[in-house]
Order: sequence, then structure tokens, then C-alpha cells
Amino acid sequence: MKKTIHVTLNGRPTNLEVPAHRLLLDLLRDEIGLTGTKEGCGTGDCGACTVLLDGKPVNSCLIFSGELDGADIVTIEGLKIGPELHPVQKAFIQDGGAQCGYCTPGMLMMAKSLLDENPDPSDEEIRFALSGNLCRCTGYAKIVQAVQDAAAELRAKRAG
Amino acid sequence: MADLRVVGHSHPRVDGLDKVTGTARFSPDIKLPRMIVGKILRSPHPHAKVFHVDTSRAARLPGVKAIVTAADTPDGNRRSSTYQFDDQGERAASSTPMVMDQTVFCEGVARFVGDEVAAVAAIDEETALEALSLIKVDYDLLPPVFNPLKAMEPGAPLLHDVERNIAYKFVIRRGDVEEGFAQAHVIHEEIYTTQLQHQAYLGPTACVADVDGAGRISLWTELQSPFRARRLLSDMLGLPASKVRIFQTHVGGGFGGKHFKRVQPICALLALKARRPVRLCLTREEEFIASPPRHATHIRLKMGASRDGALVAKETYIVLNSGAYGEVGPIILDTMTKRVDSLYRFANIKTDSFLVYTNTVPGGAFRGFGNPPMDFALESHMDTLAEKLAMDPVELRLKNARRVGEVSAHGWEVKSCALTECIEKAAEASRWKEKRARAKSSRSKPRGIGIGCMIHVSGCRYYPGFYGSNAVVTIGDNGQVYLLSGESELGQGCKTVMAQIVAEELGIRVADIVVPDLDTDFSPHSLGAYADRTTHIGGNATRLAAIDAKQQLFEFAAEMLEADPGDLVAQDGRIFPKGSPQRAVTFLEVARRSWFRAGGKEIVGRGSWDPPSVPPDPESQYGNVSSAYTFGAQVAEVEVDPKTGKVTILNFTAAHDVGKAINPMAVEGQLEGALVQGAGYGLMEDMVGVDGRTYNPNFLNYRLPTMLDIAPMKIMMVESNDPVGPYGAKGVAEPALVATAPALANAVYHAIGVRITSLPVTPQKILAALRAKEAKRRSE
Ligand code: FES
Ligand code: FES
Repeated sequence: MKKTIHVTLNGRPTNLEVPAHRLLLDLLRDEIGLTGTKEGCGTGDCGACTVLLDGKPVNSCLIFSGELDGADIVTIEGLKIGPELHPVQKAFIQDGGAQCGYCTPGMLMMAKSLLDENPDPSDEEIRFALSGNLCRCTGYAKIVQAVQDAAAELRAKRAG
Repeated sequence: MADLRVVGHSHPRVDGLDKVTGTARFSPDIKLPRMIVGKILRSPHPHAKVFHVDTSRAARLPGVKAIVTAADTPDGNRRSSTYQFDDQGERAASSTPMVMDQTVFCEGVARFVGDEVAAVAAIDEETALEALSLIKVDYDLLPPVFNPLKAMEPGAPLLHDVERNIAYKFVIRRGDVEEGFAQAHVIHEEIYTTQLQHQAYLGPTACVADVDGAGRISLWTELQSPFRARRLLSDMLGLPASKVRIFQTHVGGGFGGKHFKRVQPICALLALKARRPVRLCLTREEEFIASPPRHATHIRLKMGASRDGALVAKETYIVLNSGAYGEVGPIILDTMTKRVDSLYRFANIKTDSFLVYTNTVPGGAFRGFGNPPMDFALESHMDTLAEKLAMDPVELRLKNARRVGEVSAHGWEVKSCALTECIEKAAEASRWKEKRARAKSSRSKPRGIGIGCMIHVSGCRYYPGFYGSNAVVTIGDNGQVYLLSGESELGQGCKTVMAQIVAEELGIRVADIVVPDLDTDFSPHSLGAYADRTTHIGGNATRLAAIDAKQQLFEFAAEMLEADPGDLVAQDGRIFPKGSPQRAVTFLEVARRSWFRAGGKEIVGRGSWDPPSVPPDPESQYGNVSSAYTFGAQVAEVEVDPKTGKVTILNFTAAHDVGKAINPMAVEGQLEGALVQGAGYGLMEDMVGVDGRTYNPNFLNYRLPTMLDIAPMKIMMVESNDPVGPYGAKGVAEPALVATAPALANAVYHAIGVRITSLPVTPQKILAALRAKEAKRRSE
């Protein structure tokens, strides 16, 4: 059963014809061709598929497309601020927060949503907020550092 | 090497922008026009005769484009998952540890739950899955065997045509153990066991295959050794190597788990049959049940030490549970059998080790390659010996530590070694003495501190043929430099390290260098990412290629400067005669001249480097297998709750002899990542098998360490400047995992006085051990 939905995808109003049972993750990757969002498990256990839905982080592997009418969706492809990298993207490069990079899009979306809500998180708060996102490569230390550095840059920007 | 300008300085990854913007393409992201979807049918039984595979109903399902079974594979598809070559490129099966026991699909007999029986390709996933359900397989159940010790008993069901299910074995004798034990002041014997640990790379293994009009097949996939995979594929598909091309995509982590698997040949067979591009991507569940994890092991260890702590004898009996097939088990067994013997100055050694088939998932390579389970046993044992000798565990290790210039009992020539320094630094930085002496009884949750040491290789030669690396450096029309390497970027950062080496030699910036993805049509041949060989061996080849390119460029510069090419220096984007920087021409000017001037040429620098190592002698097993050995010491501090058995890691201090850190940030990242994987191995990760079925094939029940499980990690890079490695570098990716589990187990012992001899050290095991200790105390 196909259904037409209207969504805002990475800031652009978009009409989509979707089978109602198509998962958001598959919709993004297979039908729209936005492959930046990753599938690490398909069962809601790794966070690699994290996108922002109406500003909140969700596992896109658990969301049915049919429910999305009117939704605002932001994926890793929409994280840049204009032509500029988001500070959290910059910090992941500078601090070595990505190794293989497979967890990175999900981590970045989760980190952005944390920083939107809490501009000055403690290490504890970062670890808690990102604890649903698995990374097998980095040992997490440099990710926590990168989120801290991004938070500092965002605060400096706001102040300046 | 005081004035290195790029090497030795932290540099962000050259592919970082791609990774943080979502544009990095991994194998599951590849999409080709008309591409269809492949799925694999797997045996639901641990051991069964496969009588008949009836695909007729599935073939009639609309949307099904190809079905393949063992009947579609060319004859002679028996294979090992690795080849080891002699000088003629023949499989050196007779003289090196290797078994040839696999086929693309299981033929006649299914040997584990997950064994590949058939595969389909259809227009979408739903259709492919429906087609799988329509394939009818007649199985005749055979008695299974799951426990390797049982599998070795007479009368046990046999998986392959080998006696007692023994796929491979080593018998090692050095010195005189009887004599050694006779001299010992203390002797300790213990059995240790370790579990299946999955690589659990976040990016699943996928392959996209496409066949062109000439019958040439291209694969986009994630591999640690693409050139070896090309050879294996051409053998298995019955195609000449010229008809097989492999494109390496971004790799979503490997850790040993992305060597050649059945995914690639099955995907290729489907594409050849369907004559359409096919994508085959493993689900997370398939990754768990059918991708070779770290083997489960059984180790009986007996060691003796003299009154002053000198280790005088070591006797070991090892059973490595191979699972259904041998995979790279023989060389993992080799590692378990010999590697730790060169960590300390052992002279009297007796080891019998066996690789044994059972009806469980085949084990395979995983970071550390047989070293972590054996190091867990050895380093746990060292602690107990220290206690029996009333010696500090650090003292006992220092007393026996390997030193530079020595040759070990197996013929390993140690040309650089900072083990002593690593132990001392880790002990000092962790405040070992003070914490070791601390009164424990005062806390409701006792704290403990433990140490583990390790040795590893930088490349390990098991066979006589080429074990090296090739690299090509070319210079383009606008001064841009291309580095082609056959080594594999898995996320560990080798593209960046290689680019740093080229930048260093050519006196340019890393940003001026392009490092294309590996393509077996164009990239030079190298062996790939395993055994910690990439930086050490590939780095040497890359350096030579850069030097070759530089010398060619200097010919053109010499014309412009009217100088002798042998006198020139390349630095900061300029080329000038030594001592006369004011006479410089720019790198760009010279590059342009080489490209554009009449009679010019494209500069193509070549570098080949095969390490000065030798394979072990097939009889004596003696031989200097690596050109550089790495060492390290790790200290873990933990807190244990005796009520719940929960272990909380308070901090790690890791001092590793890395030779030379070419990219310190990347080295630190490797060490941190490995420590956390090691903590997973030590405390939580465990693939639970019940009657041959994996009970927890998902991230909900197979728990990886999360951000909440990590503790502060103090990383110390000790630079011993290896005389063979590029700029002194040795391998760094695997070592840091090796010593972590024993450091944790030793810390737990120090905290609460119970020794857990089986990994992982779980709350349940701790509580059981505490109860047993209490019962024993009462009865006394
Ligand atoms: S893919 Fe959605 S949580 Fe893992
Ligand atoms: S960088 Fe590889 S999983 Fe996080």
C-alpha cells in the first residue's frame, strides 16, 4: 500500500510516495539515495541509523515511513550549516573522533541533538547521551573530547 | 631524525571530511543500475548430510533472477580462507600451517548452524527471502560434537576426514623442561579457558558484484587483503585473475573479521548467473552466526620459577576450538603456541597444541590473532607465581623481561625492545607501589590494581614467498601527488600515515597528496592489513616509492638550478641545493616542468620492500618470523562490588613500545580502541552457544562496551626507534588488546582475592568464586 507523505527533509519540503511499512532507514538509503545514514544492526541496538525527527534523535531503523506525514527530518547530509561544517563535524576530524567512520553519522546526529539542548555538557552527560551509539573502533575517548571541543566552539560563536 | 617535519606529528585523517559528512561509501552503500538483492540459505542444523537441494519452486517465483548451490561452483573449489605461497606462487600447503577444507557452499555435509547451502538473487529483499523459504533441502541429521575436548576422544563424530578431529597440531620442545622443573623453587599449574569474541565491526560485510559483456567480474567490497581475495576468487570461480577486479570501498571496521569470506564468491556466482549486478549484505545476525569470531580456547599451563624469580620451565597444552572449518586456525594456533615464549627469557619449553574441529561457528582472525587468550593465561600465571615467590608482580616481570639484542628460544631476533621501560613507566604512572600496598579491607567495594605485559609482531612470515609491499608515487601536472598503495585502509588510518611519509620525503604538505581507494587493476600488489604489518612493511615500501619519485624530480630541478641532483633538498614545497635555500625553485615549478616540457615524463616512483624475516622451519619451528617485535605493559585499576560481583574499571595506564609514532593521534586512537575491545574481552563479551546455536546474535544480548563502560586511559607511547621500520615504526593496532584482559583479571584478584581463570570475568563467576572461598574458609 503506497501512501503520499509531505515531509521536510534536510530543510526542504518534499513529497514522497512510500509503501507504508517501509522503514525510514530504507526510505532514506534505498529510495532517496541518502546513504550517509547507516545500518549497523537493524534492531535498534547500535545507533548507527540515528537521524533527527522533529528535532529529536531516533533510530530510523525502527520508524515506519507511513507515520511520517508532516515530519521534519534531518540526516547527516543536512548537518552542515550552509556550506560550513557543523562544529561537531570539524571537531571529529580534528580530534580523531572517527576511525572507520561507520558509527560517525549516528554519533554526530546524537551529539548535535545533545548540544542543541545542553550547550555545556559535562563528560558524564556526553557519555550518558551517546551511550546508545556503539563504536567499535575508537574506544570513545576521542569522541567525548570532540563533543566537548564542539560545545566550546558553539558557545564561543554564540557569545561572539 | 631530529628534523622530521610531518612524520611524528599528529595529523587528522585524510579521509576525515568524507567520514563526517556521510559521503564515505561503504560496501552496503553501493548501488548500480538494475542491481538486485542476494540472500543466503543456511543450514539450521549443526551437523547434517545434505542430500538434495530442490530449488524448482523457488525458481518459479516471479522476481527470482538466480539461484546458486554447490552444483553451480566449479570443480576444485576446495579452499583455505587464506593462501600461503612459495616462490612460484603455488600454495605452500605442505610446509606451512594451512588446511584446505572449505568449499563455497557446504557440499554433502553441513557442519555448523549457519553453513551456507544455497543463495538466491531477486528483484528485492522480500522476494529473495520468500525464495529462500521455497528451497527444499533434505537433511539427514548426524551426531554433532561441540566440545573440542570431547571431539578429540575416540569414537567422537568426525567432521572431516581427519583423526580425532585434529585439523592441525604443533609439538614444540626447547631446552629441557624436566630439568627446568627440577630446579624450580615454585611450580604452578592451572587450566584457563577463553570464550568466542566477535569482531563486531559496526559496518556489516557486503559485496556488490557486476559482470561486463566480456565476462569480467567487478566486486565492490570490504577486504583486509584484496589481492589475496582476487587470487582466491579466481581459483574458486574458475576464472583467470585478469577477469576479476576488486574495488575497495570504505571499510566499516575489520579487526581481522574482514578477510575473505564466503560472501564474495557467493555474490560473484549470483551475478555471473543472473547477468545483473547483485548486492549481498550480511545481517547482523548472520555476522554473528557465520562470520569467524575469535576462537574459544582451553589452555593448561604449568610453569616453574627459581627462588630469585627466573622462569625456569614452561609446559603448555592448548586446544583451540576450530569450529566447523580450519579458516586461518593453523596460524592462529602457531601464534598461541609460540608468541608469548619470546616475551620473557624462557629457555625450557614444552608445548603441545591442537586445532580441533567441532560443529560450531568456525573461528577466525581477530586483533591479536591467538595472542590474547594465551597472554591471558601466561600473565594470570605470572601473578600467581609472584605471589608464591612473595615477589611484587612488577618485579617478577622485570626480572624476566626480554631485552634488546637477544634471540629468543624460537629464533626471534629482538632488534628493538622497550619492554622494561614500558613496565617501569606504566608502574610509575599508575602509582603501582602505593596502590598495591593500600589496605583493601576498609572499603565496602575493594579496589585492586593489576598488570599485564605483551609481545607482538610487525608482520609475521609463515611461508617462504613474497611477504612484502609495493607502492607507487606519481606526480601530476599541478604538483599534486598520487600515492598508490596495496595496503588496506580499514579505518586504522593507514592512508594518512602513508601520506605523511610521502609528504615528509617530498617536502610537501599532506594536503597536496591524493590517496585513491584501492583497486586491484591499478594499485600495486601488497598483502594487506593483518599481523600489524601495514605501517611497518607498507610504510617502508611507500617511503622507497617517495624517494624514487623525489630522485626523478631532482633531475628536472637540477636542470633548472644548474646543480647536481645529488645535492638537492626538498623542503616546505621548495627544492634547493643543500645549504643554499635562497636558490630554491618551487616543487610546483619542477613538477610542471617534468610534466610539460618537451622530452619530459610523468614521474612514477616505485617502492618494493620485503621484510628481512624468515618463515619457521617446518620441522624445528625455529625462525625469525618478524622484522620487528612490539612490547607493552598495561595496568588496570578496578573496583569490585562483592555483593553483586560487578567490576568497575577505574582507569587504565598503557605503555607501549611503538617504535616510532608516525601519527601520534592515530596511534593513541588505536591504543584506546584496543583497550576498550580488550576490556570487552576481559569482562563482558561472550558469544554463548547452546547445542551449536548462537544464543545472542545481536547487540542487545552480545554486549559491547558502550560509552558508559569506559574509564580514563593514560596512554604512553615509548619510542624504541626500530632499526628496520620506517622512521623506526612498528605495528601498533593489535598489541594494545593483548594485555588488557589479564591486567583486569589480575586487578580483580588483587581487589578480592579470587582468581577467575576463564574469560570473561563476569559478576556470576566472581560471586561463585567468592562463595567458594567463603565455604572453604568456614570448613577450615
Ligand atoms: S541500525 Fe538502527 S539502531 Fe542499529
Ligand atoms: S569509528 Fe568505527 S565504529 Fe566508530
